[in-house]
Amino acid sequence: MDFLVNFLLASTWLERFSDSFLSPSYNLRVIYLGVSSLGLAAGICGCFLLFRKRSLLSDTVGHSTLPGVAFAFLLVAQFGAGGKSFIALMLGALVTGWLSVRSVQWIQQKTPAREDAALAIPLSAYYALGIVFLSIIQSLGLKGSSGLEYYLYGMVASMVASEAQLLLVVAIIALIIVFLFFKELNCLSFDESFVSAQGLPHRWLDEVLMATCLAVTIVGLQAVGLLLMMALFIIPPATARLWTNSMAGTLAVAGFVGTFGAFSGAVASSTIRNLPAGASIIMAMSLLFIGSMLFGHRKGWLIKKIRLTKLERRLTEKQFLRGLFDSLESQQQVRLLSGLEFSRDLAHVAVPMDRFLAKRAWSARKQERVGAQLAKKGLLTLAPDLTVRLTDTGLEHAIKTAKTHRLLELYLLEHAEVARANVHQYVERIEEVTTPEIVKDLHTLFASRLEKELIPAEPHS
Amino acid sequence: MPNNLPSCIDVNHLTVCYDRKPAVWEANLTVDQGSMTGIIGPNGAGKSTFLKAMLGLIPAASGSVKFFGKNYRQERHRIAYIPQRESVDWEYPISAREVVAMGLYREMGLFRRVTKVQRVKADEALDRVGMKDFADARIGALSGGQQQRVFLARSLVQNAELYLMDEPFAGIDATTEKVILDLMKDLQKNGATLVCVHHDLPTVADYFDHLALLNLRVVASGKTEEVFTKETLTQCYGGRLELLSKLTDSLAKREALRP
Repeated sequence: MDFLVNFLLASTWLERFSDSFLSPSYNLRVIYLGVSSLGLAAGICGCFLLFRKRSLLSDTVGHSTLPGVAFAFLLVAQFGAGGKSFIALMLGALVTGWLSVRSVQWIQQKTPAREDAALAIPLSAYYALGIVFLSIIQSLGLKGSSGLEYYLYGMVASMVASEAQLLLVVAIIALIIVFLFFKELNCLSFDESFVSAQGLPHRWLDEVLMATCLAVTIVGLQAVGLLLMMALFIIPPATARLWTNSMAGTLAVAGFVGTFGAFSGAVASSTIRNLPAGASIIMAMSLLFIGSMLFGHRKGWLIKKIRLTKLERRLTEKQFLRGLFDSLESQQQVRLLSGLEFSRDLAHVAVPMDRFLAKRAWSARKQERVGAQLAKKGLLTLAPDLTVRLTDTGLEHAIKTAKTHRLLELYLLEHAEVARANVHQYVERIEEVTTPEIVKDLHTLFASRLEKELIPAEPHS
Repeated sequence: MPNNLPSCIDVNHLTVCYDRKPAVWEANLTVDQGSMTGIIGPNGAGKSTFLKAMLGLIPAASGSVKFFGKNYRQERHRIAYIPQRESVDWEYPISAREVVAMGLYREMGLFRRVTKVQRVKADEALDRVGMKDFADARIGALSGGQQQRVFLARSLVQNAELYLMDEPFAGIDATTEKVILDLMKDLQKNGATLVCVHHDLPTVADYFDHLALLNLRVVASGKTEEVFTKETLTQCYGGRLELLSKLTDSLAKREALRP
């Protein structure tokens, strides 16, 4: 019974999904175009805001548009234009949004308030003013006032073609500006004083950038709502930072995250009943961010984990080989291996693993695993009774590893005056970054000693 | 002989204020072409402010600055400025080569993209400061000294005649110090003029042939052997309190005691 219900539910979901995604109606296509343009524009502008440490300004602007929208609504209603005239409301938002930017700058110049306070004061003050206007509108019971709520939480279902076109135009303008002034904006975000010392158009560029961000915020209000607007500016660039090391790359990834996040959020919103688009767009972007935190190419969790595992594997293999070598050396009566000549046959005897790994405190499973790794590489053979026997290449490897290790120890002891007790553990740490060039230098440094013995004796024991 | 050349920088009665409190007061300085001038003085003496105000990065309250007898705006192309390392966002996603190419942005003009021509020039400059192998490295991943050398390379591509450097030797390794110094001497040999804000007194005599001792105003300036004396240093580093610093102190005190 449950199964049947679930199946039916799933099928209607599927149907709705296919309606919204695979064969969207004209209205839906309009919405997709609109929100994707918005996501793209905000994502790209957000990159510059992020590096100019102005990300939170988008939040202040977003909140500060409310009194403008509400006041414009009052005016329009007063003069009998039937309320909710799109252009008038946009203009209202533009005015108070712009005023809030000026207020932030003004507070920063005129008072000792820190940057966060300078952003927070206009944000809350303008928003509070907006709430006052809203309550006036409600008490007047004006026609069409319910539509004002869209500006708080966003409502894309009512988006018409002209609005989507406006979003597209703004996005294209933003793209053109970034494309034309890429190198100047890049320089401005990195090193402002250099830009002005060079006489590049500094103030003017800054104004253009802020104006573009303001425009994107205003036209996007209806789609995601003023409360969540800032997320469109912040999440895409923050996500991009987890993938790339260049500014062009950051812009590309942020543009993608913005577009794709907005689009998939809109699809989800039209598939699932009563899911507001603004919220689902931000959720989609947040998921992209979390996914990037896990799998990001630059600083993601997975890539770190893989690097760490690889490093550990290399280290343990070296430790294993060195342990084996030391054991062969001590067991076989001698300097047989360390002298200038040694018997290769004697090196190929079987040694029980737990003997030479005793001081490592490795679990039996770890011993076996590392042994198996090395056996797979053809460096040794692993017998069922847990003894190992070096192959020819294995012997070469073991000699090389032990030799480098001991030369480094000698170097630290004799040239860097490291205490005898610490030298072994230091070398274990630096061994990994020893390049062939350094090994060569070590050989030159200890050339006279290496003429007398093939491998110097373990210096710290 | 240098007297026949017009002076490279002429600072006349330059005053800069922060919050009405003067940071540089009535500073006068003449820098001869082809000289290597160190601007020294105690902490908080306004050395960086002085340099920035000369370039118009900070508005001056009064006074004038002439470069090659003209305004900075007119002679900008002949001047390279190397800001303090701390002034930059090192987390920025940009490679050493791209930073160096910034030195070419002005001559490239608006709307032009960085092409192979600029990249080759940038790589050459990086080679001159011994950073060729790090051209593709992210700037934030480099050490302080390496970052300073990248900054220097950025000024090299500008082919300037005058280099203004803000503490190029602050917090760097010995290799970088040598690289920078050799390069500065090299530039000077080829006719360039260098002005450096510097804080390390023991090296002053080795590095600079001219000095300006700054403490709020220019206490003394001229050839190093003439200026770098016990008297002027005591004067500059405040062995005895001058009336002037007493005045600013009392001004600061009044501000501090206000509610």
